[in-house]
Amino acid sequence: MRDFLSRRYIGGQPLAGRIAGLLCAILIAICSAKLYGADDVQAEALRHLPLDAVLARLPGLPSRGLVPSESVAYETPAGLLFVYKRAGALFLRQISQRSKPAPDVPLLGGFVARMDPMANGIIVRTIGRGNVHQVIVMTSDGASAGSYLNAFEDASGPLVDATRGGPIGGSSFRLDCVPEAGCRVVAYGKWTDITNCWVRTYDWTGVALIETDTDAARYTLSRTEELANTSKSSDPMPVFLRAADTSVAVAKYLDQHLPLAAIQLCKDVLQLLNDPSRSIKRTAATPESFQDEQFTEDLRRGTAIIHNLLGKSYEASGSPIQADTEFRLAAELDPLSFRK
Amino acid sequence: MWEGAPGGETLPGTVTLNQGVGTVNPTLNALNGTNQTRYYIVSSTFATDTNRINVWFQVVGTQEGLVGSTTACGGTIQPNDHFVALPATGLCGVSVNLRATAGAPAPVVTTVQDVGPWFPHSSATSGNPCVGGSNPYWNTTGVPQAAGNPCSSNGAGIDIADGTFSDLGLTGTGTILWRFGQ
Repeated sequence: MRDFLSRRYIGGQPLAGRIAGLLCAILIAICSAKLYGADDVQAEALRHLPLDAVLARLPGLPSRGLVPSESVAYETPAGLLFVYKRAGALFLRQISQRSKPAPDVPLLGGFVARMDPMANGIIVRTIGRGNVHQVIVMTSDGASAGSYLNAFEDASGPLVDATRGGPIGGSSFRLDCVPEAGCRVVAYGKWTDITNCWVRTYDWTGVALIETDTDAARYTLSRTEELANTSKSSDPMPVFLRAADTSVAVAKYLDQHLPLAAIQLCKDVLQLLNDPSRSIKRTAATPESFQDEQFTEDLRRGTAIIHNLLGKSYEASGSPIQADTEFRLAAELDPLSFRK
Repeated sequence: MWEGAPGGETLPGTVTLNQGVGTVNPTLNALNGTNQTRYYIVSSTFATDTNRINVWFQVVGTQEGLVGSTTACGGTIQPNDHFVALPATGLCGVSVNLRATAGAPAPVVTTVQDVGPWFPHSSATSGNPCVGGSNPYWNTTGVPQAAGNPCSSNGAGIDIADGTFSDLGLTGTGTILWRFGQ
């Protein structure tokens, strides 16, 4: 890193611009060194930042002059990578010590997001096999609006888009890596809405990440089981959150023709709802005097929802008599929502 | 006289009194910025009075989920989190008040901490086919762009974090009422 820092990159600007840029870069470098002496990568990114841009930080953190530690800049064997924001748009810049400066790469979205809370904003690792490192940058317009996974072929050379036709869209992403076999990108839809509970997989072909949907069924089942495990967690949780998660998990089990798994999940959740210590009262919205009464009501309604789901699960398993029993129980508990 | 708003409405300018009582039923589509209210001035021969009326929006609300994701306001979504997402930037920390149904006894107050659902979105993807900039529908027609656009599978105008969603007593996508303010 020190060797790299000792080399100065100057782009192909006019002389006056170069001098002005150099002076500003020195000034920024001095300031950043003063503020971030221990954070060479971030300081170096600041030094190479276009004058009218800010580092594309993870949102909510201070802007230029206070570079955060979440690594929007990343040092690679070939140089430095960082995302900056100019006039509301994101760009990925590569500062290479080997080759001449490459054009900055525009990225979609409004901010750099993390693949998971522990991940860096820029991921440099081998997706395919061998020793070639790919670059992954996740950007987003908002967690709710959806995110983009940008991938580039080779971290040691000029940045070439590896997604062939634009970034991969999704609500969340995961890298599923197997030693010697590389990594697969798994994109997920929004698993709170049954119409958007999808999984897509992307595999590395040698030069690009292509949607193959290989093992999509396995990832769908795995995601369903994660949701089911959340639903039947013994940790106390709000009644309706448990009911909502169970509803999606049951629907996905039934989609996958797994009614027995859905039945077992409903039974497990009913047991939890029978024990009030496993549920959390609504507090934020409820006057204290009304909380106990509302809690009882919530448990009753939540239990009705699960009996109804159990009825659907029995129906799917070919057990109409048991299904009718469950539908009747749901209707008795909550006649407004469920009819006998 | 009614406070004008970006959306514009045709609102009653006069009220006919019958034995001292008059009734109007205005429909307010929009408000200015993130104001909680629109004001109106009642003038009579002998007095003038200014009053404010809360403006509520009735839209489809969805459960955000996405625990662990980075929000547009810089947070990481926690289990049982409390916030909402509205489809426009620049609203981080703005207070909103929600009700599951009209007349619900217990409103839920929280803040905007994310951007969405559906808009703004820079490019169509398999995750979100909608494309467009910010959609502050509260300053225009009162109807979310997603509500009339086939790119959206549910037409939602607000996304509600899991804890807030549960506090409202919701268990799935459905119509809710919200307004700005405490």
